[in-house]
Amino acid sequence: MATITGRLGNSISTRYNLSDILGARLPIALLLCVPLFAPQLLSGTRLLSLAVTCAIYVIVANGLHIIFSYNGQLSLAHTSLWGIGAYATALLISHYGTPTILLLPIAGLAAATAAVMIGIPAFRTGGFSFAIITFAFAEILRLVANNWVTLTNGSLGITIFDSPSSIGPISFDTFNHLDNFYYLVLGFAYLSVAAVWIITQSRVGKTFVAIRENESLARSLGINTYLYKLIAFAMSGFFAGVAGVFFVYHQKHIEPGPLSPFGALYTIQFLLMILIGGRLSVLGPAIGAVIVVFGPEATNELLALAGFENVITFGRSQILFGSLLALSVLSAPEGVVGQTRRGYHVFFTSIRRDRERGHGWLRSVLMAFGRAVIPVGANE
Amino acid sequence: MSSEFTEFFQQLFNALRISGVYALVALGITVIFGLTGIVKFSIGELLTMGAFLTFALWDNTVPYMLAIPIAALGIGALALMLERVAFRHTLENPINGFIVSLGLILVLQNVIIEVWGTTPRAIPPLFTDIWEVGGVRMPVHDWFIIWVTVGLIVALFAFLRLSKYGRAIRACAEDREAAALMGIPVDLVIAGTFVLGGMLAATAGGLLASTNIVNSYLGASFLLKGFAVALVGGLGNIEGAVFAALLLGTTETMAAGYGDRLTDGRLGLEWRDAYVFALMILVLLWRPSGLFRAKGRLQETLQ
Repeated sequence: MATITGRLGNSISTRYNLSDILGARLPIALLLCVPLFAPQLLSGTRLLSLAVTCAIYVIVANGLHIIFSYNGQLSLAHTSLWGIGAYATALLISHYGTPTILLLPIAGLAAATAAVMIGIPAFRTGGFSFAIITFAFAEILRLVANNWVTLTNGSLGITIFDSPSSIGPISFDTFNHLDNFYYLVLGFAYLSVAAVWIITQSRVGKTFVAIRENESLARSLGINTYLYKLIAFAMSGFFAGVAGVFFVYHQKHIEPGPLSPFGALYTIQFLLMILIGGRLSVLGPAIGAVIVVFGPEATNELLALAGFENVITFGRSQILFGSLLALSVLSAPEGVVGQTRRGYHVFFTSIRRDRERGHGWLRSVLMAFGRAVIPVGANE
Repeated sequence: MSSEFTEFFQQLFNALRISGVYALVALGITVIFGLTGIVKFSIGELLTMGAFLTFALWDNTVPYMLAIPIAALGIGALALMLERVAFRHTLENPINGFIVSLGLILVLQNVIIEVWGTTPRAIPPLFTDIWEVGGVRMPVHDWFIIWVTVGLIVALFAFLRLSKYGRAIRACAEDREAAALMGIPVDLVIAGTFVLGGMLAATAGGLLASTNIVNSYLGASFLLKGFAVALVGGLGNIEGAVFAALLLGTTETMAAGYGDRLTDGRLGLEWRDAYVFALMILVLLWRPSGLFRAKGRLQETLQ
């Protein structure tokens, strides 16, 4: 294992890129296909609705991935940008009946513009100050959504009844054709993963990483770090804005309440997905989103088999995930993806080494298994 | 006295009460940051827990005056536990400590909801009398809160400036390695500041339990205010935090009182928090390390 230190933003990022994974590992390619069968695998509207939520979360989390994982800036206003996209959508639909094809770029650009307007002052500071200034902007945006009643309808929020415009015979009506709507959102979730991958492979993405690794060094090489951080922030905002369109179509409602995109510190949920999934991987946030959304469901199903009904409530799942976040920062900073990769590596090298030393097959495999599953040594 | 003056002094009095509470939260934040470089966001949830614990004790016939220190001790013990389990391992990388504290927000917030539910609670004020001087209405209970906070702040200053332990804390903030070489038990001092921060937040929560409605979101609003104060005052600078608390507290009450008239009814009472955050953003743009730059090696993490 090459040097992967436990420190945030101190390791080479593009090591586990998508082509690497696709080229080397068929399992990951198969894993990528699983979401395509969600409507067949998940029984009932409730679970399919969760899958839609999950796909929306993937888009939002990928936006945060760019600014947080690749550029090293923790924006606590990220879900507020999502909320801006959602409000733009709800207002345009209710006032002008704007078609979906126009909504997506408008909402994305609205959130990206907001990101730039927050970023222009906020990037004059750095580190923790940036996090806290973005938190303050998030609160100001919540106050705007709450208090500018003539525009936003205040705390009551805006309700719409529309679904995305149909393409030919394909209807995306969320009431009767939720599976079609799911595929629409899923398509954009795949697009967001692909976009992150393209960005990380590009010159711009590599500049983001350079800034994260050592900002003063990047500046001394003539990179306009302020501008590049703004670009990263705008990109992350665009993702969030696009996700806002689907959020409104799915929920049919947006309000500035504590459990809406404008809730204080709601961004932590997406930080959770990135850190649990793996912040050094393109697929990390997507895997994290699936774990955060379906983990509690799956656990409940398993516990129900043992006769315990509904043990993992939302609150309890949050307690578990919060602890998991702390734990992953402390002992597995690369998340599930990093640990799985490490496990693979350790398993096969361990078997090879033990066999060379003349140990039996059974012992080699058991020892290798033990070494692979114990999640320590991320720092080794 | 003319009514203009009366209203001005009324807002000033309100500012005094609110600033004291902000100062308590901000002092905990600032001392922890000064020593470890960790921005501890979970302090807001410790405040909420302090408020709920104070209410629970008061509800079980413990006098309010006694309930606050007991709750503070309880939260101090919890803060110690969290430091031992989590924050101690993030001293090398303060940003990890920050992320751990974000995770702890989820944990603590939902533990609060599991234990105490979502019903809002409130303790009736200890004193119901209201003094009136020249038209300014000053509830005795507010004076009580002001004196408790002033007393605590003075005691904290005496502790940090005059006592042997305070000197140890300041030495660790300047240079942890050198302090260790001088025989100061750095590990213990760091744990102590986490306990101190937790207890200050819990005390603030306990005091708020009798003036605000206690629910699981109480901490979130005071968390950002506490951080605004600590940042404006210069993270790590305790005098700065007290000054900034007065500045932001006054801004808030003045915005609540005069914002309406200054903006023709557009940005009034319900926007008062926005004035505070806007002031914080402006101050940080002007001086990224706050009004009063703290001494020590941690300042570069803010640039």
